[in-house]
Amino acid sequence: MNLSISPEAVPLIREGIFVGLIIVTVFGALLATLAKRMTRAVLGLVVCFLGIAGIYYFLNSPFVALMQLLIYVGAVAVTICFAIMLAEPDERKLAAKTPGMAGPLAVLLGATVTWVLAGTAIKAEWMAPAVKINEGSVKDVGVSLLTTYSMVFELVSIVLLIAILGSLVIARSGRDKAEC
Amino acid sequence: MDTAPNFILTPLAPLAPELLLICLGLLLVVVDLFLGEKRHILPWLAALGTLTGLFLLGNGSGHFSDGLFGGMYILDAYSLFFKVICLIGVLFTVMLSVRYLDTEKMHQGEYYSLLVFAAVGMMVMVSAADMIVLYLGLELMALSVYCLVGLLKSDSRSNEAALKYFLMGAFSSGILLYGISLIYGMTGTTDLQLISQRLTELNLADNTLLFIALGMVLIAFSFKVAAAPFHMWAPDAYEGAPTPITAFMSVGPKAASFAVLGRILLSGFPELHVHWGPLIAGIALLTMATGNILAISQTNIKRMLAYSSIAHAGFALLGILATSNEGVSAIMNYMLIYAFMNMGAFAIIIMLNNRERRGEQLKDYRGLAQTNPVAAALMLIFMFSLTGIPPTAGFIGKFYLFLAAMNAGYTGTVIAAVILSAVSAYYYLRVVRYMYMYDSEKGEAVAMSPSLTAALIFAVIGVIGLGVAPGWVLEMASQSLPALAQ
Amino acid sequence: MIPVSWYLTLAAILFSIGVYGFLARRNVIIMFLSIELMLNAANLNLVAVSHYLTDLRGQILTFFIIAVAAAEAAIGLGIVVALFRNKATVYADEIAQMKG
Repeated sequence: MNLSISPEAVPLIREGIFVGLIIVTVFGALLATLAKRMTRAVLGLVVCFLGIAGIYYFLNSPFVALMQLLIYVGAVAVTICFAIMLAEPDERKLAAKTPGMAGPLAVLLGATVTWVLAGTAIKAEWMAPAVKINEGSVKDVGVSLLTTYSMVFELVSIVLLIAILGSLVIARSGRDKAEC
Repeated sequence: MDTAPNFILTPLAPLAPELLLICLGLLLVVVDLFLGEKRHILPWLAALGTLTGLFLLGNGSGHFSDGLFGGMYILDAYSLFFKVICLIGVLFTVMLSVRYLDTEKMHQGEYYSLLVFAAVGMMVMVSAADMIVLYLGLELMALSVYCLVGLLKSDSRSNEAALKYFLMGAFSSGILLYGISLIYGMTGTTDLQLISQRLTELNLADNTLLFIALGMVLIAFSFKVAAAPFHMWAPDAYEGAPTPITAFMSVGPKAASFAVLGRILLSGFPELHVHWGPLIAGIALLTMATGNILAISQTNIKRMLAYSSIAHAGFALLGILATSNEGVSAIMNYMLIYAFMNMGAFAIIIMLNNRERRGEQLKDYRGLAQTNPVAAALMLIFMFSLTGIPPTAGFIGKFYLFLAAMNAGYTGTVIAAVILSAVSAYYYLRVVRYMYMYDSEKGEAVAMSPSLTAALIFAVIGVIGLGVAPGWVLEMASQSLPALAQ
Repeated sequence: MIPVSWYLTLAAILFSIGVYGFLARRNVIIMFLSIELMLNAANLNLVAVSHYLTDLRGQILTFFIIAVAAAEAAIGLGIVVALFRNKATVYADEIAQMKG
């Protein structure tokens, strides 16, 4: 099959995909915070993560896009699913609980935050993008992780160790009662 | 093209204290697995390791370096001083924990290793010269402390405290990261020294977005030090946490957060002082007012000390406000003094603790002067010091803070602080009144343990010693400052 | 070439949705989801800026944030499970024992 695209159409398609990704991301985020059922909220979060991963790809950052898929979608979302399964929250209660006074206030605050942040971000003068060198490739990121940022990389391993240790200690029931 | 990447081989000797503590944390986990019934040596192992860490810190104080790992990790006298405070906090916590873990039948192994890892996090935070390292250190500390708060698993108050602390901590991390991302966007770097350079080069001092970004960083750290509009998690987290951890939280993480806040504001954003000065002044005032006034109505002494800790954070903010070497050395001095007096007060609470949670309510202190005169006298000293009454160290700490803020021209704020400090006398001295003016209900004597005795002696020596001879700490603190305010 | 302000606006929107969710919802798991959205907003900012400045720092920091977020998720959900075991609820307004 020979699908020929005229060169003029390429930026248009790019922008179309980009707008599509934005819509997916925002939709996912809204679903995650507004859903009446918890599983739907997690689904929304996953959709949002996927949209963001796509945007990272647009930003020439395949490494981060991969990490987003692997860790956020693959690990964080799954962990949350496990928590929902283990805690078996009462779904009917979730539907019944409407954000009373806090709701409008939070909407107001959220809107203000968007307005202020986005407003100033658009108006601010950004430094002109530099000439594209081969930035953001997986190799570059990998090299700099193990050279310049080697210490931080080691620190992450300790953070993960604490995560294992801590979540085991906290979630496991009552070894302290049996022993000692 | 295919040249081998330049691995930066940093000599690791200056990092000896951090490395030692990491090894200690791992060792505690492993030893816990194989020890079985002989677990009671774990606290002594932890204490020994921490002492060695302190020794290594003192030993390494000669060779400072302002750029390990490509300038991301600074070892200067400022970080050294705060590391010493953090390790003293850990040492106290270990000494307070031995008895407490026994009475509460808590599991030991992970407790001490999490504590040690939290110390590593604080040390990294304090030495960080780059926002990336800073964030990692902060999370390392925070994640360990979330777990420690929730370790009293059979008590739902502890669960609740952990949850609240976790949600608020993660929320504030989100705000902090957004602020950092905006700062990175404006200046193109995460290195604090470079940020300060770029601010002048790119003429960003009046940029609204940068101001918002800095505001977000400030909000995040207000959460971390429990400063006023963002303090609501603190009383619950402090009340529900195991008591030694409450003591630890009010000393270690708080001192580390102050150290980082000081470094960010004074070494990253000195040009923006006109903007953040009034903001900090407002936060400080509000914090002192909320802490001191809400503490009055508390009947649970842990909760009262939580509000007191909020109030003390407000006092310490005065030192950052001063933006002078004097101010920063006053904070350092104050944090050290606060560590001693607060740990002392918590040691008494733990001393009274038994399975029925005696010692947490104010009424448990009735007639303590009759049943246990020594404990009552010690509590009296700590309460005097927390109020800031002259022969004790608390007075010296507050005095230098107020002096620094006064010299920087914040007279109104200092006057308010003095008035609120007088208000605080009411609730601190109420404890004294309960101990000395009322008769005991049950009249049971309290059992002592060697580690608690050691902690109390250590604390009393600190409180009296720093009160009588304050000179050397201030001198040491002010020595460290040229490195910070370059 | 899509201007950087687009990304920053998207990040601002995500961040506000996160802040809204955290403040308005009382289910701790959904509050946690909202925090994840806020972190993602910060990540998006970092990667966008990193791309426009052709500087790797932003991406590196994002990588670390993602790793820490995974650790945070593990611990946070451990706490939720422990709480549920004692109190059988995941609603923030039903677990308030301590007041004052």
